[in-house]
Amino acid sequence: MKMKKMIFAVVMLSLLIGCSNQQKQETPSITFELSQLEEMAPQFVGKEIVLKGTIDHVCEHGGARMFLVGKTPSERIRIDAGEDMQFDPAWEGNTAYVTGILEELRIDSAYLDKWEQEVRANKGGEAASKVHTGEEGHEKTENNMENELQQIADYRTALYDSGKDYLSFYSVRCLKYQIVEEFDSEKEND
Amino acid sequence: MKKFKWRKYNRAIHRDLGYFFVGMSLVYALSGIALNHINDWNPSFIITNKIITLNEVPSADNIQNSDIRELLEYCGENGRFKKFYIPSDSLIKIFIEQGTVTINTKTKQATIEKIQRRPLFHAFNYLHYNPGKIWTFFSDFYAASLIILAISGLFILQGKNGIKWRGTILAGLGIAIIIVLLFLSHYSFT
Repeated sequence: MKMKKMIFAVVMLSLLIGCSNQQKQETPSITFELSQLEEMAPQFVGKEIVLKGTIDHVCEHGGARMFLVGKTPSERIRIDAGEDMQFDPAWEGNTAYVTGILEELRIDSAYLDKWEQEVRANKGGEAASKVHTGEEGHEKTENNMENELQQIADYRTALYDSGKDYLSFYSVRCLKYQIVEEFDSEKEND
Repeated sequence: MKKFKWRKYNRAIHRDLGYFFVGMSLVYALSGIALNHINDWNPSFIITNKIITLNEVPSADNIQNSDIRELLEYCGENGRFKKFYIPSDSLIKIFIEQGTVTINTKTKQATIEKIQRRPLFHAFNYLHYNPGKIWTFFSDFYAASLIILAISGLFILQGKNGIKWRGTILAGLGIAIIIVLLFLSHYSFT
């Protein structure tokens, strides 16, 4: 009797492991490459999209944000964690398939004025209007007033250079995701 | 008619809630201290950086997987990597297991960053950020119980060490500090 129970438990466990492995290997259909982002984004704001990219950076404080990159440095987008979701820095370098709502933040000179006021008033605290870009080493310089004021000044220049009334920043509010970890294989890549 | 012994029930509730939530109190207390000082340390991860100067660095323009493997071996890594990409003209970012190697092709310096979960604190901080609905429900129950614990604690003892003298003074002092700090915060904390 005891043996039967053990066999049953082993079979159920194997099935469970088998099913979970199958889920991990399944690759979702890709509908949006990061290289298409700039061109396609305006049509998809507020809509659900599936995005594929390499995880360049995951915010280490709370895992609330991660940044996907494509083949060139300009192909970069911020992914905000959805409800009850935390991203893991161990995923950096993995491929992510993110399903979520594409959002657009428009930054004009009024926005930059408000942000600057917040930075000066907070004196080192995080401003509500701050644009998170996840640049290299940002965790070490976060909440630094000088850096944030420089970021604002850079956006003012970019806004002026663009000749438009606003700069668009696209991000995705993540609904679900799949992470695929792949290591370089000498045979496949060379 | 028998007198209702409310103090007996008050003590029992205070005692049992205290026992039941000792684990939750430790989770929130430790993660609370950790997150209060988030600007001074990374409470969830241990991040180490090592800088190595390389003899030769291939141009970032036409770098191959075999070049990356050679660079990693020179850096003391096993040559196995997930992916690499070129964030800017002079930078090569290689994603390895539990970290990254960033090579500056101008200075020929490689920065090896390794990231690993901080024991205990990673788990506690993960829980602090409400990882799921069941946890939210349980932590709401804990928060409501803290209110009961706080109020029932006022009436555990009788006499001059109870709420009639010592209790009023200490509770009043604690509340006064909150009010003073709240008042001061309007004029900015340092």
